[in-house]
Parts: sequence; structure tokens; C-alpha cells
Amino acid sequence: MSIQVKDATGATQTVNTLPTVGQAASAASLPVVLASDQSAVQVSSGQAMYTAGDGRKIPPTSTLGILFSDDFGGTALDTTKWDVIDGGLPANPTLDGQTLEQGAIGSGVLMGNGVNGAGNSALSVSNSALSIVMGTINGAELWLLSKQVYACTEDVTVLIGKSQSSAANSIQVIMVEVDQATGVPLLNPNLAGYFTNFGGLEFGASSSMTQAAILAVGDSSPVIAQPAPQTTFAPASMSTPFEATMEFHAEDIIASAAVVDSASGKLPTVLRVSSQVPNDGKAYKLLLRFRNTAAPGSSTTVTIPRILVVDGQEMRVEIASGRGDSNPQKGIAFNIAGSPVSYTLAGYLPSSLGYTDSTTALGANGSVTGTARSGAVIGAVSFNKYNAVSYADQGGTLSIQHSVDNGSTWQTIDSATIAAGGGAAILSVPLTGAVSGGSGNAQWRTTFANGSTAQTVFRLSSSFSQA
Amino acid sequence: MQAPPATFNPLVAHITAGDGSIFQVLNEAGDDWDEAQTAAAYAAYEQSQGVPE
Repeated sequence: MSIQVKDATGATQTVNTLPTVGQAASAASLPVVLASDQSAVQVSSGQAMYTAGDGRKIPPTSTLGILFSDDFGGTALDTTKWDVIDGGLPANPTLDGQTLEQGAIGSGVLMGNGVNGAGNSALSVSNSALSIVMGTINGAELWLLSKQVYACTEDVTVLIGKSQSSAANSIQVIMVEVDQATGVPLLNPNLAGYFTNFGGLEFGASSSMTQAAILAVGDSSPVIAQPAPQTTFAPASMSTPFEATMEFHAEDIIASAAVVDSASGKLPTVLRVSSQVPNDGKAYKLLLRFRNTAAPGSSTTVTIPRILVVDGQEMRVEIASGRGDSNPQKGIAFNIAGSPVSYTLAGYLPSSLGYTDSTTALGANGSVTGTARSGAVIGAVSFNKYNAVSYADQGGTLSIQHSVDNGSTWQTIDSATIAAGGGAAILSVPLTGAVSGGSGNAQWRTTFANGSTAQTVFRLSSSFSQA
Repeated sequence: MQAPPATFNPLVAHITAGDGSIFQVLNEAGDDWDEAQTAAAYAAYEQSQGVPE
């Protein structure tokens, strides 16, 4: 087998020839690089592979794998994962041998002993956790910057706690834009001490042990987007580390919290920022930024047992941009577990909104009037029809009655007959009228008037529905 | 014609006989009818009037 290409003159050139000994030999052959003046051809991802028992080359992680993880094992910070920068990033910094000319981002005030490595006195690793002692010096700061570079569609999960609360402590877990050539965080020319693009959570800057804030800057904005902090973001006092997850999307950042090692659901107190979001087209690193914005009265110790970054682009599955979208046209069926439950699914009828009004056979010329169904029943639920169905073995008239004065007076707004000999009748009317309670409350009910022959079989039912 | 019960609630389900008599037995909570009890009262009345059910 040979591989041939045509050169610039149109002549055929053979670039490689393989012996005809089967596919196995072909598969084991070296790749051929086709050089041209077109776009570059990538021939290797550079990712290490291991060989499975059947000879296949298997990547060490799945495509849904972790991009970055540190459980802080051992007794020292793993400096193959982190750059330590005491005092924050200086002007014209050199990072891993790469220099970028720009102004300083950090204060230059040391939090530790000035060692930019595992030996920094403000940090320690033990019992599978990173500890940062923030001290009491005004302006002191310490950075732990990941060596790994990411796109900005990730989920970042951090287990974090702190020994005390101080409004003078800033404790940020953020993604920051870096220069793609040097890997150095980029100074925002319009916002001193910050980054061109960044986003994440602030666990300090508060006298609360449960409060967190979400913040972001996109494309060198001069102000930080920071919705109101969530005062009950952490499930309990941060003296016990808890789990916080940030989902970075192009549209927004959503942060939620959970109890570590608990199977319970996440807390409902979610933070979201969308007025600014780090530009998804840039390169980013994970930054743990510890900073004293004033002189704390006493030193805070921050504990981080674990942090990881997961490829959110491949993990996240959304159906037709479904977040926050209650358009019935996009309704899908799924199992609902736990409470509270929001009834916004097309075609789903909650048991509390369907009624068996009567099964009592009526005598000659008898009638039954169903229980009035108040608009308060449907309150915040997005139903828009009231339906009635009857079946009888004799002729009669099915009606839906409507009241707009809380049931004081009723008007028949629709009716249908069952012919002599029996059968079914079906009615459906739009929900109208005030449903917010009070004397204007709209109500609906179902009635059935039997004809001159007594029934032996009768079924009367009703429901609220979306369609 | 039989008068409605003293506890009659017009917003709760009830049966009206051909002569206009109203039958309704409320449940313990008083927020809906007890259909079985109401049906029994209605049937007894119909029988007493000589009307086949």
C-alpha cells in the first residue's frame, strides 16, 4: 500500500509505501505529515497513552475527565501543579521562565517569607489539605496559580473552610485570563490590581461565616460585576470545609454549594453573574488569591482539602438551551424526585389537579353539581384550561359553570349532551378571571343533569391542564 | 321536597333530586363531600318516594 499526493505541478508523488501484510502493519506505521501552504495538520495531541491488553492505545482519562485536580496529599505543596507568588504578581513578571512586560497586579506585600515555592511560610500541606495563614499585615497577599491553562468552559469545585470571618480578608477562587504565549495573568488596563478577564467566588470580605459572593470581569471592564452576596451560601459555618462548585458558561457563571460527603441535594442558595462573564475565547489559569484588604485583628487560616477543574464543555448536556426555559414547546418527560416540584411540564397532570367528581348514578331528572375548584388551586402553576368529562348509560347534559365572584353566582359557559342510550361528553374551557384570591376569585365546577330515565352507570370527572 | 341539610355548602358537590331536594353529606374536614354517604341518603330518599334508582 502506498500514499500518494499531487505536487504543485499536478504530478503524483509517492510519500510512503507499506508492505501489504495486513491492517495490523498499517496501524502500526508511522504517521505521514502532509506539508502544504494550507492550515497546519496536527499529528499528535502530546497526551501520554497506555497500552491495553489487546494492544489498543488508551488515553489515561476519558473525554469527560478531570483537567486538574489536587487533593493536597503528602507534606508539601505540589509545585508541578502550582506556582506560588508571594505578594501577588509584580510588574514585568517572569513565570516559569516566561516574561511579560506589564504593570503589577499584586500589592507586593508579602504574606509569607517571600519564597515562591512550597517553602513559603504562609502555606502548608498536611492531612490532605492545604492551609494558608493569612496573618494580620495590611495589603499582604499570596497567590497559588495553576500551571495548567484552560479554556473557560469548566466546572471548578473547591472544598474550602476558614477559621474565622474577617471583612479584611479576601479569599478568592477564580479563573484568570493569561497571556497565551507566556502563561502570565494579564493586567486589566482599566482596573488596577485585577485581570482582563476573570470570574469566580469570594469567600472572605465579610464578617459572616456562611457568606460568599460571585464576581466577574469580561474584556477589560473597568468595574467588577458582583451581584449581592449570598449570606447563606455555605451550608453551615465555614469553620467546617464545604463544597462549592462554579459552572463557567459563555453566558454566565453559576455557583452552588453542598455538604462534603453528603448525598443530600445541593443548597438552593445559588449565585449567578451574567452582566459580565470572562470571555470564553481566552486562555485561563486557576488562581487562589489570598489577600488582606486591611489589617485584620487576628490571623485567619484558610483550609482547602481539595480542588479540581472538570471539562464543562463535554460534561454539560443541555436540551435546547433549557436553563430557565419553561416554553411548553420544549417540554420533555422525566421523573421528578423530592420536593419542591414545579409543574411546568407539558402533558403532565399532577394528581392534585385531576378530580373524580361523582360516580353516583342519578335518578330520573336528578342532577349532580361538582365541588367548586378555586383559582387559588392553580395559583402559580401554569395551567390554562379546565376540562370536564362524563359518561352515562342514559341521556343527559354535561356543563361547565364559571364564577367570577368567589362562587356566589354561577354561569354555565359550556355544555354538551349525551344522547338517549348513553355515551360520553367532553368539555374544555380556557381559564379566565382573577385567580389571586379575594372576592374576585374565579372558580369552576362541573354539573350533569340526567334525563328522564334513571342511570345505572355514571362517571363525572374534571381537571386543570396546560392544553 | 326535602330541605337541604343545615350544613349545606353550595360550593361543595351535591346531588339534586328531580323534585329539587338537595343531598349533601360533608366529610370530616368539611371541605368536600362524602360521596358514599351522600349517595346513600339520596338513594333512601328516592326509594321513599317510590322512584326507582
